[in-house]
Amino acid sequence: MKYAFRLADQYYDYDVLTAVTAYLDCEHYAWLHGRNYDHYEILEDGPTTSRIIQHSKYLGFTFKQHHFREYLPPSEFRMASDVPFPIQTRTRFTASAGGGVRRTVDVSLDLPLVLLPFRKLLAAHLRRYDARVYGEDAAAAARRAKYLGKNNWTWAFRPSQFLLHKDAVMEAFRDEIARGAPRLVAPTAGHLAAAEPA
Amino acid sequence: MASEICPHMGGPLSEARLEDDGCALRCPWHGYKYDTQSGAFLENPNEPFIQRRLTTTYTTYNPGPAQFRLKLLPYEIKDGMLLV
Repeated sequence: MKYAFRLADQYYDYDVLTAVTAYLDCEHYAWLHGRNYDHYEILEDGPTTSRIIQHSKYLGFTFKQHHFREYLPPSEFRMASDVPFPIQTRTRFTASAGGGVRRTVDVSLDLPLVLLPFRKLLAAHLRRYDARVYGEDAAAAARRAKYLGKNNWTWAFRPSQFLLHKDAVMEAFRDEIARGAPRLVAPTAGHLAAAEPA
Repeated sequence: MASEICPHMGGPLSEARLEDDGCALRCPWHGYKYDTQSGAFLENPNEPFIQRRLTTTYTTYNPGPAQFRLKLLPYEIKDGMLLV
């Protein structure tokens, strides 16, 4: 039985490109979010699609999930997962007034009948899970803003930095990237020196 | 003695894991490993799961030696105090 709901609808004080680059920075999933994911590995990738295996920890259980992900430039993501039951998500980052970003996540679960009575409990658990995981991303963005400058996404476009669907992101945000580095918010000289490549 | 800000993406090195008998530390955000004495970048542990199965050729991605280095800070020990 299908059960659809909105998982998240929140505003953050950084721009869309900051949110998109953080989402596609696959290296951080197994580390920054290591409390939530045991394992993260790219199985296949294409210009805008990827297949990933991720071991997610829910309620004390670890589920080996195959994720099929699609990037719809500039800032929409769709994901389908198979375990513990079919899950589809649609994540959108849209610019909001004042230079921030609105993040919406819509979820559709294909629940077995036996779990249908618990759908609202499941939704509540998934909301808490999402708030914890995305909260880690938002806290990381806040720290980068503090030390490296607000809306600092230049790290993502270093040649040696891997980003899923990097070519498509750079094409979608070509004008913004070409305009140059994001606005700095009074970092100290020491902070800047620490952030510069050797 | 090193800056608390990871040169890769600004991660909190005060929460880094010390390894190799204190000779190396690993950033908690991406697992990048640095030499605590020289500041040299030692390892990106994510490369195996990133590069092993990539099927797309990225024109904007050029894997090579990372150009990161810990910012080492001068310090001295004076009268039992560590001065940075």
